[in-house]
Amino acid sequence: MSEITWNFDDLTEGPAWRGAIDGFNDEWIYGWAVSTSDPERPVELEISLFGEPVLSTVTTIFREDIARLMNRPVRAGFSVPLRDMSQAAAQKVLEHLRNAGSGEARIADILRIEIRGTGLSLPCSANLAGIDRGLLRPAVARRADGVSSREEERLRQRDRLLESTLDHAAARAPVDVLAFYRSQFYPDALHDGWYGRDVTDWADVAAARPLFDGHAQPRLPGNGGFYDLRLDAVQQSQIALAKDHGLSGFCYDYHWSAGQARMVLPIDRHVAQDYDFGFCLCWVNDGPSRPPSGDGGAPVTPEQHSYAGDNDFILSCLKYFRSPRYIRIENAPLLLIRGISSLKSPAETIRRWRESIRAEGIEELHVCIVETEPGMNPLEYGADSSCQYPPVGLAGEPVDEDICGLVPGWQGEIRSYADAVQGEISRPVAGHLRFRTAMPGWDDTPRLGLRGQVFTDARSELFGLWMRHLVAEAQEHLPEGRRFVFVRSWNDWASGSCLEPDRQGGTQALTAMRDALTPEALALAPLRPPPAGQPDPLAETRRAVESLVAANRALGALVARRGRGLWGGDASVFLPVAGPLMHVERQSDRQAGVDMVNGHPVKAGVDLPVASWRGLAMRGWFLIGGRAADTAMIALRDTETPDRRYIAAIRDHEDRPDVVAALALDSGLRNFGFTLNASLEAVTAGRYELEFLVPDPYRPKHALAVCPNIVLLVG
Amino acid sequence: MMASGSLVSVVLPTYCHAGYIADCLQSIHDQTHAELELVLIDDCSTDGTWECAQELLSGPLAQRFRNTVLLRNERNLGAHATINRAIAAARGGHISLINSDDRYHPERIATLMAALADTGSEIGFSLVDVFAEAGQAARIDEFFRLFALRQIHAVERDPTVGFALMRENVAISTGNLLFSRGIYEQAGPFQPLKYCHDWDFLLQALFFSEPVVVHEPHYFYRLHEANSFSGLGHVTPVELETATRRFLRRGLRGRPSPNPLFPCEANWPGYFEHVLRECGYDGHMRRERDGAVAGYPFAPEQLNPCG
Repeated sequence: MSEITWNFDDLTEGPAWRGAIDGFNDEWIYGWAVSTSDPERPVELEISLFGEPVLSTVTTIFREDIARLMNRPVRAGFSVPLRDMSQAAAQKVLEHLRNAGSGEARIADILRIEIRGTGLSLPCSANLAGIDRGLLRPAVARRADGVSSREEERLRQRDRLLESTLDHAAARAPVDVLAFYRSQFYPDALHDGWYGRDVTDWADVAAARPLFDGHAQPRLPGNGGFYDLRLDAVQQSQIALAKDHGLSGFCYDYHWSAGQARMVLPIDRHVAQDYDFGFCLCWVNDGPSRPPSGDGGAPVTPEQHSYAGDNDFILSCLKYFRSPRYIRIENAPLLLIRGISSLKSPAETIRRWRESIRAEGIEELHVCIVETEPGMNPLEYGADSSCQYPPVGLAGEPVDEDICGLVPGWQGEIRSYADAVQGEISRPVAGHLRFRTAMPGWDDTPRLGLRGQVFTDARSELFGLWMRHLVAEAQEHLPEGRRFVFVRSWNDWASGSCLEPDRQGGTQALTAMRDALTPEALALAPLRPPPAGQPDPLAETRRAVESLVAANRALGALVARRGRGLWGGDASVFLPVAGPLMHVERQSDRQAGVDMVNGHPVKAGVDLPVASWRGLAMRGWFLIGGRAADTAMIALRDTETPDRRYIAAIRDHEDRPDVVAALALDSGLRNFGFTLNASLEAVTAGRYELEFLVPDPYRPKHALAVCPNIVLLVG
Repeated sequence: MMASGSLVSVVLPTYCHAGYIADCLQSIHDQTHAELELVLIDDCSTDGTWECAQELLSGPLAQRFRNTVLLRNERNLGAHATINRAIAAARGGHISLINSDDRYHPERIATLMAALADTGSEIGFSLVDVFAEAGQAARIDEFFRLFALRQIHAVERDPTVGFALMRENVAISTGNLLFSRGIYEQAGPFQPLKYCHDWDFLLQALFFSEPVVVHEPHYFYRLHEANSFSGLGHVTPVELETATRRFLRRGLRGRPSPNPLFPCEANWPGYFEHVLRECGYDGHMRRERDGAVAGYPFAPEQLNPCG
């Protein structure tokens, strides 16, 4: 019978459940289980110890890791206290424990968790080794003797208190990052009529072409693909991803004109589903400032604003303002406005709005104008604050003349992202309340073609630097409760400014943003050095904190790489090796075998999926020219670009008497087996063939290769 | 701007490499970095290396250099003293060393200078391309097999280049070093250590500046009879102890290191201790700590014979 695994790579394979036992100590048994056919349904579990049925439970706990892997909010976790065991069951278990004596027991030998009615049991997690019987005994004995009810009550109270701490542990980050969110990823008849087109942004994204040498177009979406916002699951996973990377909310584009709201499906859904994530509105009131690409519809005349019409607008916002998820500043809903100057007397309009919503029970309103032109001051418009809107007002000269291979007819502008970041970092603090905004990149040629604007070399490290600066500035200069930083934007794909993962860079931009929000980055923020030439009283403190951060990161990396702690054997890393550095000569002999890859047996001829975050744990053996190799490496050879390899060193060798016996090899062969535990962090997604390499003893740059005929799909 | 315009002194100590010196000089001549000075110093070669070099540099080869200095030791002084003497005679703001049996990649100095300018570092080295004599079919010492590849893994294993250097001399040889005069004045001179003077110098320089590694095989290291078995196996434990303890002592002096990434307890609380034990330097560290506490009652500079 095939067994339950924790493999999510192929949900159709094996039994219709996934799960694992994650922990077993003297108080708790915990883990997770989920049905692949009906993931929302709780799974019933039967727990036995030493073959004695002792407890049963149901999966009810939300496990974020599993939910992410399943891409739905499944409640896959379970956790059972040992003290829920009946006295009779505890007495039986105690008997077994007495017979077994003290010492360490393999958990897999004594604990079995079965999915009710199937006879299938959960495997133990890889890092779950053993449990001290000596530790277990008093816990079970207490139960077997019958614990006093007072003691019982105390334990329950402790668990309740611990649990309540868990629920409220997510303290608010001292700086909130909000991302502009674009809705044009589903067809909306009303909107299409307005803009004279019947396509989503994806059409522009997919149709983009490179317009100069090194122009990275088309820039295609990553794992999420060309999504359609009509699907609930899309927005759900967007929010999960955003929260995961430290965002506090989306600032939805709110299209409202001539008495009608358009493209509001995601906003309405956010309110209806009450997603646990902040949001606010940005009124897109500047109309189609430029005609859309391709054949535009009828020319649109700018809307005539009237007090009455604009009053209808603010009333249309009320249902959003009333959502508990709506982002507020001191109880005033935060409303962004793009195109403030087209209002009929903005100051008067805003004054009337405040009155109007007060009558509806909303006492305050915080109006933030979007700086669609450089140097806009909110006070001139009767607004409360302003918010940057890059690329508007970014520093840096066009660099078009440095660009090679520009297509004829180019009328756009090419600028340097690094210059822009440089300019933003040295921008003085504004005299009014101003929220800063960073953008992970910009290239609107998908939308505007030859009239587009491109910021070149928008690397995620630069974006990270920009974010760190803005976060630091918000901490230092903005009052508490108003520490917001914006990102333009979450998903403006056709402008080349989005946080969402793309095919090339993956989650780099998101990760860079998250790193700017780590406790370490926040701790360092107020310790920024003073401008050059001024005394720096905090120099030593900063140096010490930086050292701690760097050391802790290095230790963290070690622990992560080595799985169980610092001294659990030496791990390797797969690193890219350029073709010219070595010549690989394939050997015709195939004396090689791989027993296990990440805990799974290996089938030849089948591509084996490997998640890159998990790394590669492998056990196997090989012989070169019938002999064992002292120095050996493992290569992942790109099947598309055979010259490209990632190589990791093998550090652990072992004898393989089983192979010697099975293949009737020379019994003197020693040390030709290996175990490898290597990080795949540097490996880009792709299809790779496995090679075992040993250095050629006669030619310094040659390696001899044996191929076990195994292909890995790294992703 | 600064990188391409500044004068680099190529310091070439020669000793009994008559057969290779022409190759070596040609590769210096072919550098794309314009401003070069050549300082050749012969340590009493007995095989005509000196005559050969003089002959070569009396021709058009010498015209490529802004300045050429030819020196000869009156008696054999050894590698460290020879290099120190040559650097004293050099005028460039940066020093680029080379062994007289090895070769440079044409872009070597330009790339390293650009890397120094980019990072603000004062010392750098590149990957090493080990090459064998044409037609040679002898077994190569394990130490030299797939050397560049192993360099990459050694450098990437740790969070900084400094930690990789703490474990071993990933630069392999003096010839692979390019550094500023400023850092030589702070961290130098090269100490009288037969095998370890280059590693010792790197570890000392590390205190002042985080080295930069150019991930291109820009140094061609020649394998031949005389050096092919010169892996680290021949290094005496005393030399290793000297270099290691001089390095540990730097970190214990209590002065913050100008290079904030220098491997020491103050810069890497916890992590340094871990690598220290992995390297097996705990014994050396204990002795250095005792010394630091006691104010080095036993001849404080005994580990620094020159200074």
